[in-house]
Amino acid sequence: MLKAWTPLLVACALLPGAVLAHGPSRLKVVESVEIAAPVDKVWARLSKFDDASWIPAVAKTDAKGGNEVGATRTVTLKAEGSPTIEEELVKYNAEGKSLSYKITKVDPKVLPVNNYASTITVTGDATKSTVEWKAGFYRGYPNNDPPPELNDDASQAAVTKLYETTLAALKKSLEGGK
Amino acid sequence: MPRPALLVAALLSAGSIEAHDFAFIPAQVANRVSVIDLTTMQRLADIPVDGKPAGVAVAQQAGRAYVSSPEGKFVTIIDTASRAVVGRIDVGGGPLGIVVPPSGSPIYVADWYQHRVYAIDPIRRAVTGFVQVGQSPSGLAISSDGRTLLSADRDDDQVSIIDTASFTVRAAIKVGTRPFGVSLSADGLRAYTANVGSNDVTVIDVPNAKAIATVAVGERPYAVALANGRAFVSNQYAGTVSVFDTGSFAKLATIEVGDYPEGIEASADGRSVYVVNWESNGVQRIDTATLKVTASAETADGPRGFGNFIWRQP
Repeated sequence: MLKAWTPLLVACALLPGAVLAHGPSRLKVVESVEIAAPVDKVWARLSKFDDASWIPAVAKTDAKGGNEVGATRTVTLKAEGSPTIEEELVKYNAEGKSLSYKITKVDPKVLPVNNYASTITVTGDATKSTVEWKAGFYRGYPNNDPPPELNDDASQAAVTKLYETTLAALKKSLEGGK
Repeated sequence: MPRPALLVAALLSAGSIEAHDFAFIPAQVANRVSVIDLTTMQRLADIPVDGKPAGVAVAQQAGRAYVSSPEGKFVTIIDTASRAVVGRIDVGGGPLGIVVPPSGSPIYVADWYQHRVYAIDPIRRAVTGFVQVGQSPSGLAISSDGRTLLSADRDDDQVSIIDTASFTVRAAIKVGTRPFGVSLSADGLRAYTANVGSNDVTVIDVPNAKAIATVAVGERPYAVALANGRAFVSNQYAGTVSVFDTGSFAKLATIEVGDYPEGIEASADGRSVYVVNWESNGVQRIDTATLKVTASAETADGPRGFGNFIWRQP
């Protein structure tokens, strides 16, 4: 009985956390928004890795390690079943107002990506700012000939939409003075 | 004052000694191969190549750049002198890693999905055979005599050593986690893998088929270039190139480069290493003596340059 299950058990044990095969093409998304607010104010909102509340899709952030490289966070999404995404801070540059992080665990049904890494950079002056949010990732389906919902176009569209809606909400929130 | 004839002769000889290097860099997002003059760092052309091109192998004497398109499942043949596409070879699967021996034939292509390395005849433009290797073969490297071929089998954490005469795997060596790029020293004695999952480089004694050292590098290493007794390792997530001494394995420097560096290769004279930055769309020259970035050029969007992308014009 146990013997019959062994291959499945081994397969399951190998999956979590592994950087397994991925699609052939790394995809890019770059979105930016201009905000009529001082650069320091905008960076203050985005600079805390342990607080992802500026992303409307996020319900809560559980984090450890602050803004040190290697810090981790688990964001819980406002969606049915409260799915989570686990992330790790890869780079942090307070002077350059930029931070980079990677996703260490996500269900492709939640966000159809693999090996996702992202950088947020704020530039500007005392009256206006630009937020640039860029990502590199592989599609949600790791093998050849993906189904339509997990192909390159679907993955790129999902990330683009997330960035557009999030940056629009950020602009509204900061320009509204809230 | 030198005589004019002598001057002309001096200029001509300088011209013939100083060969001119060009880079043929697949830009995957743009579906282009950017051609860069590595002397002037001018971008000369963006050659349209479909199928999300990523890997490249230049045949120096033949004057060909072979470019793998994993999405298109083919290899495109570019004439390096005219910078024109002159043919295409259908491979199937997911062709990524690609290498060609100095003799110019055959071309070897790793199939990331079917776990094989193909041999391709560039004249007949056809696959002539394959050898089964470990899971998800990525980078390939070949000895200068063309007899020993290495495959970094990413998802088996190993390097396969392939005897090309019999086209069989002679040995498989366990390395760090998820090896991607693999490079071979000019004498064929040492190989270096960039291990994506364990952030280190494994050094392999090739004749004895064993790992002899592990060197820690930056976050998400991708590929290794060898020059001036040093190894240069591109670190994708760190945005750096790690440099260590290939004799002592001592760490020498961490060089800040562009965003998401991937392909990396040394010039034939060993004075320069060129690193391709996927995120920031460019290629940078590193001086292998001073370990400084000395020049840069733009490429088309999403350059990968995975393999040997430098053509030295004779």
